[in-house]
Amino acid sequence: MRNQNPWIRALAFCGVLALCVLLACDALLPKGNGPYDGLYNPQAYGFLSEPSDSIDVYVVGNSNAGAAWSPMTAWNEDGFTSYVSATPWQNLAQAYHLFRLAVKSQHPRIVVLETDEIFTHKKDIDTSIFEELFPLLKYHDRWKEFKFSSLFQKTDYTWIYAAKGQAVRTASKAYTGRDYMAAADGTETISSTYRYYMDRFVSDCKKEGITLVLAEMPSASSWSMKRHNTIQQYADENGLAFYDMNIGNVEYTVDLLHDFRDGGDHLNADGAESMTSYLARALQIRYSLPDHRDDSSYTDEWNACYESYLKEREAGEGY
Amino acid sequence: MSYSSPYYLFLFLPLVLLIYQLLPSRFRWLALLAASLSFYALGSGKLIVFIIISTLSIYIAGLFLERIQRRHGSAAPNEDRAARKLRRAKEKHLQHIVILIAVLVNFGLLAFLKYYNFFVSEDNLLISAFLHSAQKMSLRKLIIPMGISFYTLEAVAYVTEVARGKTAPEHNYFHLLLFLSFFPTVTEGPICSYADMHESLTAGAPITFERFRRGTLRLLWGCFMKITIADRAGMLVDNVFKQGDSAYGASILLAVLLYTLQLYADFAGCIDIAAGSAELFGIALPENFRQPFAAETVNDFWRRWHITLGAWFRDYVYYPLSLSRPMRRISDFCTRHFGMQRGAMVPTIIALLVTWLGTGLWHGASMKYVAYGLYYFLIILIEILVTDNGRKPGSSAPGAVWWRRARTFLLVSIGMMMFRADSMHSFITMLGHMFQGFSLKILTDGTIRTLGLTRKDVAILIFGIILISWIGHERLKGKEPADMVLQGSIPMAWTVYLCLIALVLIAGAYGPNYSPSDFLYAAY
Repeated sequence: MRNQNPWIRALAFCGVLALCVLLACDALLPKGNGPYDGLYNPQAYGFLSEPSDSIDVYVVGNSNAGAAWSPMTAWNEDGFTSYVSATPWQNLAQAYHLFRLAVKSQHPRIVVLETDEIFTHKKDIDTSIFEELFPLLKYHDRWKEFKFSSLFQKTDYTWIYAAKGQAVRTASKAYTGRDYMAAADGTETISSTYRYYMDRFVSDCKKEGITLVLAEMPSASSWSMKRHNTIQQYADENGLAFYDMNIGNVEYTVDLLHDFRDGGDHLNADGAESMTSYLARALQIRYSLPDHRDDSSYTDEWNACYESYLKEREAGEGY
Repeated sequence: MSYSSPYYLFLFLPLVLLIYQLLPSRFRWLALLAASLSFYALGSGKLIVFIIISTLSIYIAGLFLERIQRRHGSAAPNEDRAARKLRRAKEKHLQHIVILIAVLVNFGLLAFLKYYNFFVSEDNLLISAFLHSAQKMSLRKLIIPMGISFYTLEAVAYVTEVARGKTAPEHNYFHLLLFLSFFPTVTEGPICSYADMHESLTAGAPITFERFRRGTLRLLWGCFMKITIADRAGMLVDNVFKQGDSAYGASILLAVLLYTLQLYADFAGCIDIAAGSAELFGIALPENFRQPFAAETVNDFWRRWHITLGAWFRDYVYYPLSLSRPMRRISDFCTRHFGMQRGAMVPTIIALLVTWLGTGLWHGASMKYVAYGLYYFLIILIEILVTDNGRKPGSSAPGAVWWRRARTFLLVSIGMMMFRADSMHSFITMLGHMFQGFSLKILTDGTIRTLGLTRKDVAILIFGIILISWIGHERLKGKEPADMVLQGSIPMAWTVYLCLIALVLIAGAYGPNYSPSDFLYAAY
């Protein structure tokens, strides 16, 4: 072998290396979507257990989205199914990866992209891009819990999340700050990487025949009129609907004193229910979403989940 | 873009290698220049203008020096002794003016960007304490361009070397720009000399298989040192130093020892990545470390640690100062009044003090770094006095050698603690707290876990320490472990490569469970 062309030897080495990496992936990547299977933010991956093409609305965003969108409220009041893939400090690369993963098994009618993350955690996106492309970079540290038996384990995505990704919290802490949506001209800059991912969302949804909707959930501590203007401008340029739930109207206005759980950043369960009531109805009217409440292929699972959700809500804590 | 980031390792470097190799050899330096400027712009944005100005200043200075040498350096026909003396004096005078301007431009930029706030705030203290002036200079928000402390020293060295006639002045501005901004060295050094670098930088040597193997091996080793060892040790270190005044006992000692390991693995790892990257392009960088923990004196430690910085201060501060005319006068004066031996020591002591104050301040703009420099000045001065400037070496018995190594390690670790502490107050408090409630039980009672390290993290660190020590030991014996791998059998070489990749990729301290840290010396 030593007499062979050295570059062929290097190529052979790369082949062995690739095999080793594949083996490491098999041994270290989580093989289930349950809370103890090793996935980071497993509640965001609960859609993997849902029957294929069973989700009507797929919501993706950071913790604001997870706190604000209540799939069970939408089910109970309007009868359509939804899932919210929310992770803390999410950036657009992670959101895009979750979206691509979701559309492998689901064909939602609407994808709601929560826009708060477009202005936050910009520095982390470089690392995230690599982590999403090569999940071993994200899950390599599981070598500490490695068991040989995991090498022969098959993937098992069967964990059902009753709240369908929502972070159910009942605590309440009022927002007492200034008028964060005071009138302001001008816009903020969307970084080129973020714009690239937003454009990918737009083009992929078009290609998949999915309607992309932009939405900003109520968040007094991170949103502003300038950010609203920026997203509105992008939505207008791309012919997208944009729902900014921080701007009140006759039917819905966020209750700054009672709807937040942490003084203005995340909605609590009450706030999530009232916001979802309005937004779910608006989406259903605008996009004629189906009502599955009489469809037995949905009711068994979704009604059972609704019961569990109510218990979770009563306990005040969910996943 | 950090050298240990996936962007650098998987995207930037392979792309530069590809473009470099595809170009004809005479254009390859342009690929390196474009890559270096892109790397700099990605890291520092508009601040790239400062490195361009620095390069321009030394480029013009080099050309002026050449002109002065051409005009005044050669004797006129029938020149008498007086005329020659006058001509030489004029040449020296003009050279000094050019050097002074170049040094003022480069150190001026460094002083303003890095030290302005330090001097203003220290000045304020002085003003408040001594002059009782109500008028204070205001602090400014200044962003420090990447690697300015490193490339400024290289720039000043270039001008000095041209004036000394040791380096020919560069006529191509972009060659000089490539030298100062060369992407593997611009962040953390090593501090290179233009005479050693310019040929290999512009030669456009092809990427050969042997260079590729050697370069990637060194690069992988650097990644192991930084990602697997330094960043892992840093978790406990950060947690203990974050506690500051509320940390006590053996946990402080453990943090200090681990910080010494972290700083070494971080800095030497970065230099290995830089040298490995440069090696791929056929460019050899000077060594910056030579088994520093085998040093038997602190003076010796500094000849083995950050070698290129020590060499710079030796060549451009210590020797010029101690051999200067004013120093000779002081020495003569002291010899007359205090005797031969003491008189000869005075210039050494003054030059040593200036060198160490400079070394301390080079590391950072705060009183902590001034104290850090003074600490080493005092220790080295005591060593010089006790050993009669190295003329009385200790016993060569193994026990005595190991005792001196341990003593040096302890003294250096105290210096490291000062270096890491948030302030001098914090350093003194932590040093005092180290002896309160000291118990080695923290090694077994779960304290280490609460400080951020699991048993498996500790096992990796112990393995790393053994590996680093073994490599150092082999090098002390004159063997190079990299050669053993590269000249060994294919299965052995492949095993080493795969193990190193696994140690970085799988056991590296990166990802969601860890907070990524920049290279420590990139901040200086």
